[in-house]
Amino acid sequence: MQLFTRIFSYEFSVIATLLFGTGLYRRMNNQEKLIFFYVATILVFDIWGMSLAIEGKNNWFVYNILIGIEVLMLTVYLNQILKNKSHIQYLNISCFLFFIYSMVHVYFFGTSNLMLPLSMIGGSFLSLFFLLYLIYGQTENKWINSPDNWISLGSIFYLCGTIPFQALFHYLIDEKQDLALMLFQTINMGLSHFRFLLIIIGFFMILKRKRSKPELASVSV
Amino acid sequence: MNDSDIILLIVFPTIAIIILIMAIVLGLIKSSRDKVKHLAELAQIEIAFQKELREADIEVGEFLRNQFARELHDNIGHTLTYMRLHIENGKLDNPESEVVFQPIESLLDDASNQVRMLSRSMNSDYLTQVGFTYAVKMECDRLQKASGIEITIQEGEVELIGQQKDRELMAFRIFQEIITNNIKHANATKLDVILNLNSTILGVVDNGKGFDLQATLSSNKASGIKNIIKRAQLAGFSCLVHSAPNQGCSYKLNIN
Repeated sequence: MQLFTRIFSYEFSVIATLLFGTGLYRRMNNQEKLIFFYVATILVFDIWGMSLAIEGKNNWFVYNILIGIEVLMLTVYLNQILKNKSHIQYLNISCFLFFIYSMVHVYFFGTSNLMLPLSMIGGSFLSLFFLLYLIYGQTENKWINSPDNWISLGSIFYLCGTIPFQALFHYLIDEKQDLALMLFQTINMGLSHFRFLLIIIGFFMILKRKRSKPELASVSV
Repeated sequence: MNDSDIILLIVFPTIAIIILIMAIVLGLIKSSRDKVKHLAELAQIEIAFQKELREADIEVGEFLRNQFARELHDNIGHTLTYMRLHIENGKLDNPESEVVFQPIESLLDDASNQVRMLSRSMNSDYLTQVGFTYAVKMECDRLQKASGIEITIQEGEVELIGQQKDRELMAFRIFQEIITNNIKHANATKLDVILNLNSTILGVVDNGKGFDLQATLSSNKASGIKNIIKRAQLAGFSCLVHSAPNQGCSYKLNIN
């Protein structure tokens, strides 16, 4: 597949997810709105990254910032969903440690214009752990009806699927740049398509959810 | 390493990790479902246990009411009757003191009537014998005399509960609880009672001071209203309560 077609289909997925989410925005609860803004953030950062690439400039720092925002947004998302206070504390401390680690990493590499695979892998593992915990902790009777489960599942597959590629990223960039680009587009974009599809399914489940009735000063049994 | 080796080195672990994660996710979903199922079973057991407790509680309550009704009728009722006889004898012995005895006699009659009505409203055997509609009317009459609240009764044509005596008794006890709540808290001057209309067995609307229903239900107090709801659940009625501060309160008991 041509590079342009791949990028176009990827951006199409992002825009389709956003458009679908826009139609349902009023029905979304806070954590679903956060996912909507997260997808919007991805689009903005992609446009920024691509415009830098077209100008022939290094755009890795854009994606390094994006992974930070991704971890931050997932932390806020999980903060709203998790019920156990001590688990929320662990999550927030882990997120804080992740940012400290990333800053140390940037400091030792001396620049943020490099991809920081260790930070990305760390962020992926951190998010993965809590998303899996979220799936385990959910109490809804019909698993497929919960938008949170679909959104989490999309993130889980995307995050775990990109770990092997990220682990070998620097080696590939140094030794086989074309192959690195091809694998990046195939694995990363392929999993992104799948992720956005699951987010759309998650948004679709919002449609199936009954509108909550306004609170009345009455009780019925 | 050539390109194909690198591709294999990345693609295989990627697929392996995805499969592993799929297995973990499926395992987590299964265990989470088992957990939900187990919790639901525990909740069912708890509900059944609570239901049994409530039934036992109600049975004990009925037993005590019957005992009390019998005591009222047998002891206080008879004592009042003897007092009446003594007054009659006194009047015969001293005809000139009839004027003195007359107000006492009238008060004794009132007290006897009140005791009899109270005893009847407590006695479940009597209530099942006379039926729900008559019992409610009798209770309204007693309440109107005792408290001075203006009561209007709107009645449908068909007895909705029919011959289900246990449910009739339960509906009557709910009515009594509503009335008690009303006298204790509502400061109402007017009460509209609906009986056997459409699917409503019982409706009570008062013009009292009302209350914040959600706040009351979430507080540790409000045992009266909680009792009403629990009794309705136990008897299989649907119960709708509506209230707001300064807007009175309404209860509706529907047959399912």
